[in-house]
Amino acid sequence: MSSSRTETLIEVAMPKMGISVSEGTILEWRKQPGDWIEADETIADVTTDKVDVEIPAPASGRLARIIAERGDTVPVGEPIAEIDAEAKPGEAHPEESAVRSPQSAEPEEAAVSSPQAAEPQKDSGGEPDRSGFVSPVVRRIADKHGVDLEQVEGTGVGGRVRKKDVLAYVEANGGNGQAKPAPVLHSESPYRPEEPAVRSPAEVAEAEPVAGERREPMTPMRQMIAKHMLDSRRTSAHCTTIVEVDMSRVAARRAELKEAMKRRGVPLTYLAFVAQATVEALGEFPVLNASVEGEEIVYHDDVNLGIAVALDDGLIVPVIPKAQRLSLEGMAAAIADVAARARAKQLEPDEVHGGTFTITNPGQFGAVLATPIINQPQVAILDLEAIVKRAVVVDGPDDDAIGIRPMTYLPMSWDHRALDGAVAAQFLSRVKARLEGWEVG
Amino acid sequence: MAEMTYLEAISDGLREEMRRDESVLCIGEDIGAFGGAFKVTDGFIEEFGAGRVLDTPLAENAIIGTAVGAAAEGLRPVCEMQFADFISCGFDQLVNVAAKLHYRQGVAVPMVVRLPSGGGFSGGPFHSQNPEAWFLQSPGLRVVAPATADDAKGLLTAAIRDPNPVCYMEHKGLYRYVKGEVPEGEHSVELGRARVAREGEEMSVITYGSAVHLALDAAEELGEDIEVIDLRSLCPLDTDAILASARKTGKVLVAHEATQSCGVGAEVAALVAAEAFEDLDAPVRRLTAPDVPIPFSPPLEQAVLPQLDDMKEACRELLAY
Repeated sequence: MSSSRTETLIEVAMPKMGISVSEGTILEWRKQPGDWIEADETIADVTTDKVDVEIPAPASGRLARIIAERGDTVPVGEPIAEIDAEAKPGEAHPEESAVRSPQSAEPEEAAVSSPQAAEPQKDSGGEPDRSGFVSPVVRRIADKHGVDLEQVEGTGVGGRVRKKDVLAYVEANGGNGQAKPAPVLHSESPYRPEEPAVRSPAEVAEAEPVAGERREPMTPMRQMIAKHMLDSRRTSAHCTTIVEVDMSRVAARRAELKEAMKRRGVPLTYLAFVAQATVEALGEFPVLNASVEGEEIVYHDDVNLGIAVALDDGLIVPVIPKAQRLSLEGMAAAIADVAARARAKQLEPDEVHGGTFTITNPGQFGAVLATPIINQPQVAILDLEAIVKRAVVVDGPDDDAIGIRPMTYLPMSWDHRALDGAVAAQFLSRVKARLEGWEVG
Repeated sequence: MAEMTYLEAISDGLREEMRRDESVLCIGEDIGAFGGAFKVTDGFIEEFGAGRVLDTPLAENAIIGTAVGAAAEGLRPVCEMQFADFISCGFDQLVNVAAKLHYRQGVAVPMVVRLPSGGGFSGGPFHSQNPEAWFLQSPGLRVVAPATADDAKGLLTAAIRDPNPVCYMEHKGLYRYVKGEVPEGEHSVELGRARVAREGEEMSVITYGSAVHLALDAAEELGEDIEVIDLRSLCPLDTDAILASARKTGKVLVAHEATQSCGVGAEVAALVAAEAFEDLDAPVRRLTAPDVPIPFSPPLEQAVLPQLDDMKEACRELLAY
């Protein structure tokens, strides 16, 4: 509360009633003009949007004037009444008047020193000579431009050479001749994340431009994909086997689980079911979770499942390690996680190595058949195609019938060096049986 | 756009999200019929009903615990602490349950705890603290601290939509002091992104919350080429923005109203020292409250909390270095 003295009149102000309160409304005056009031006696009741407050008189005296009437809304700090502190009622003590206002300290009266007393205070005058001290950035700029700091006039504390001093010197004198001529606005540390390698013009400027064509260099990722795909074609004896799968039960199970998982932040896709069925089948057909090294086949204990993720310009295959340990929900979460981070380019280098089997999913873009290229050094890649409602022959109540079912194809490219068509077909049949027999309810 | 106070922007953001998403609800003391101690939820119970604006007993542990359960089941509760200081009573549920549930069991806990913080009104040691650093030591929690009306709404929206538990530090001193243009309707500000509140070349003030306004006022009054970075999110911290500014100016003052030791200022100073050492032209300095409780006495409180003159003095020293 603030109150100030105007001749013999003490102002009663709308008090500060909390940090969030900017104004108050007069509910009731307890005193009327002419009434005697003691200091700290309630003079009026005020309401705010938060609380009701009693306003104490800042001083003893006679209420001289009411400025804000009952019902008026007054900003904090504005006067609402005046008290005549010189007035003398018969029994009142005159010396009680006026200055009993303990809360009248105005902010500017409190000469506040810095709370940083613990930090050494720099005195800008008469400080010791600091011209010999060189800060990291000044040393770096001086080294870069070959500047003799003795020649640079320091304008910092104690004559210290500041960054701006050395930059001004470089701009004016260009260092010692090794210096780069371009003016330096500010010079930054060399420690940066690596930027994509700049290609030399000679690499791309070979061909003459031809009307009607446009030439662009391949991105580094494009070049890597090109190399890996050709290498794989040269390395493996590619074959592709295809099964057709009725996804009705998977669709039903997905419908049951989807909402609950979504609430837990996990998007449940068909891919997760196919991945789960594949990983289970790999346990029964270890030759598909293997690599060919020379004349040996290396069988891997863990299924480190690669998931091909399409990017704007390219493709990356993050790996879900030890996928055999995951539940369906765990699989769905892991796929969503690596896919999101792949698209955000936030994968760690280790996360794209060590895969033992890969699943690709062009079906999400509507494709129905493909013959994928194996991701080396693996021996097979499974492809989930679009799930499309088709008229198919199903078991009717009496005999065969035509039913409408969500169908898909699962093509798998495999390496004929490591296995033969019978095993590939048996493996795919295992995956198909698992998907078509998925437990529901 | 509409002009709103910081307080109105918080209300507006909360109301928008409750209208948009039925799973958003509020839990707190006196937030329903009374409309909240600071009136953030004034009128909410009339619009959304007592089922989504839950008045609770004076039991912060129950508020946070209820919210954790609701969030784990897919709702998006927004808890109100009447004062940030009172979160200590709900600490176990917050730091040991909410923060760790995803790590332990893979269960997302999308909840927000609104924490009216800060001093400057003689509220004394139990109603004035800035306890954000408590939460920064509890991995699993996110922490935001808006300084403007725009960010008050945008960060609250983002906090509600975030799948993690988020501590939302709302400074009481800004409630009605700060006004600004705020986008109407849905408005979200990405978590983890700092804002360049003022561009400059000579030094950087890296700050958040109420101290942003001290820094801007000091820069204006001094008329110097001072850059002011408003962190907005304390976890995750926008290290790129901090380092870019530090590398540009070479002089860093970290400022906040919270106490000094092991605070945000310490974290930022360590980051700058480790990653931008070769760009530094001066020691990294801090302007904070000293490590003491907040006094009731107005002159003592002013001595404890950083004031505009303190900010100007700290800037002058660093500029002169």
